[in-house]
Amino acid sequence: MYKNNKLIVLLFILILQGCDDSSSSTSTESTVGQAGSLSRFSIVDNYLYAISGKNIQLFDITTPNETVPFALVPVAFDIETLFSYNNALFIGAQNGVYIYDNSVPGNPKYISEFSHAESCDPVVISGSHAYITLRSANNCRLGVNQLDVLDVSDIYNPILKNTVVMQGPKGLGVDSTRLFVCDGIAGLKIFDLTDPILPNLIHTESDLDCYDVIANNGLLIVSDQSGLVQYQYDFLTSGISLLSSIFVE
Amino acid sequence: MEIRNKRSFYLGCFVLLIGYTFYLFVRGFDPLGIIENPFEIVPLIEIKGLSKSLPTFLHVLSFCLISHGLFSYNPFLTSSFWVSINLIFEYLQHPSSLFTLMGTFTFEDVLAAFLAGFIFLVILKFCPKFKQVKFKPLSRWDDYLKVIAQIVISVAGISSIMASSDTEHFPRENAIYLSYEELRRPLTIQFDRPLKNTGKIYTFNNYLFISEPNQGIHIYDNSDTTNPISKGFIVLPGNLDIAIKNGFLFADSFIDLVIIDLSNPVQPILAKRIENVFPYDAYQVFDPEESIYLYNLDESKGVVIGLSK
Repeated sequence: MYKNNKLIVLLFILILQGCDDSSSSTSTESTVGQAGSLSRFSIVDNYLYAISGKNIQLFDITTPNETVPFALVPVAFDIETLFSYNNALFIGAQNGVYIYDNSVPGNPKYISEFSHAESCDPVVISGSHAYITLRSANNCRLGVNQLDVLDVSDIYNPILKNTVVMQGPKGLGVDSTRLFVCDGIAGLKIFDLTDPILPNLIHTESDLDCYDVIANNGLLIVSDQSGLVQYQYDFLTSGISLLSSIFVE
Repeated sequence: MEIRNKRSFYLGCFVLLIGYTFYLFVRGFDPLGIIENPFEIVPLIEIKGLSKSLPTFLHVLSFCLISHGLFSYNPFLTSSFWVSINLIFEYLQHPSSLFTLMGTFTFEDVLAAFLAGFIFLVILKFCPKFKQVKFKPLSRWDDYLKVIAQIVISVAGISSIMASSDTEHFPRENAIYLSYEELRRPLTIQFDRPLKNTGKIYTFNNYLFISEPNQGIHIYDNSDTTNPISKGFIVLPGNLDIAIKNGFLFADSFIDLVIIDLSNPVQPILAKRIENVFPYDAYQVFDPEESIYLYNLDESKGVVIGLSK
């Protein structure tokens, strides 16, 4: 059974390099911003890639106020997310992931697909490993709740390395050795990735029931049921400290 | 027990199959309950007018033919029986009846039932191959089997009406539309609009953006992360995603892509709108876990933003 497009089936990578090399503090100007893991939009070079039905709609944004649709790349009927990583485009679909070569921006070309991660959630990449959350929900076929760790040193051939049981994971974010996973009502889980294949749970913020996160440079931004919450984290301690909350009314 | 009139029986089964297909492809659900959400496998076909009474018509016709094929009673009796069954159920859908079945009483359905009963009699009258064949019981068991079969078919006929009472599975909802004209009105920025629902997040330089799903985008000055300051809310119906490059914000608004100039973040200006570039999704604003069937969907009226009660 295939689900309504609305569902979040995502394989996605945080655009860590979207922030150019100025990945440091907010004082540096970035040309492209940073999205959470659930985004259906991705900006690569002078193109905006957007999931549009069964296709990826490309827009030429060289002159943003003169943006024009550029190309429509048909992929598959069940695609939900996309992300770019190292000249490749990973398109998450309910049945798996489609990998496209994106070395010529604006001209993605199909390479291969792997159907291991059949589910509803996004992916982030750190170094040569990809972290995928799979969630069972009304719309998701597999009915499992877990975190998969893939070795993507060869992006044309990702290999499953580990699976961690979760409750109902949604969005996630990664920054170096810190992995943040929204695990539904189980809370926000923080893993240490010193050994990238063995995520080590070091802290759980159980009051949170979050949708997605952005983790960058010690700042963790959480889109939570309760509102928009920000925390500070570091790579030495396991906890996080609350900076601010904007509560939903 | 053998089938008295095979032609009639098989035609009846065929008509029943058409009815079943109708439910799958037009109403979007499976009366047999095998396929959970057929409208997700195949897109629904929209039909108009009298064809809404097709199920009633097909039901009467198919069961008349089936029972005639099996039992060969007086055709007039057969026809009356099935027309009556459908009329009873039609009546039960009327608000004034003693207890109501979920559904809508329409005069067209009543007409359809009579029409089907009539057509059945016409078929029998003018097609000799469908003629009534006298029942000759070969043994006492044949008699009992016949009675049992009659009961089974009657029950099947009645329960199929109940199963197809699609409003039980899918409350028929009417959509509220936002006209395309309204959707494409000049950009509005609101201030001090509270955060009601949290969606996707995006950061750009010192600014933090959060989509309030299908409503718009909240902008915060996050230079001091201990005290993010609301800078406004861009009203953008149908928004779900955000991306920013060089101070230009790209966002979806139902079927359109909007490009907003944020060079002055407190004064967002619409730079461009590309219309009709994303697929029309009538169910976008609804929770995917809810079972909703939008009745009488009319895309020309605009985008769907809610349900009317």
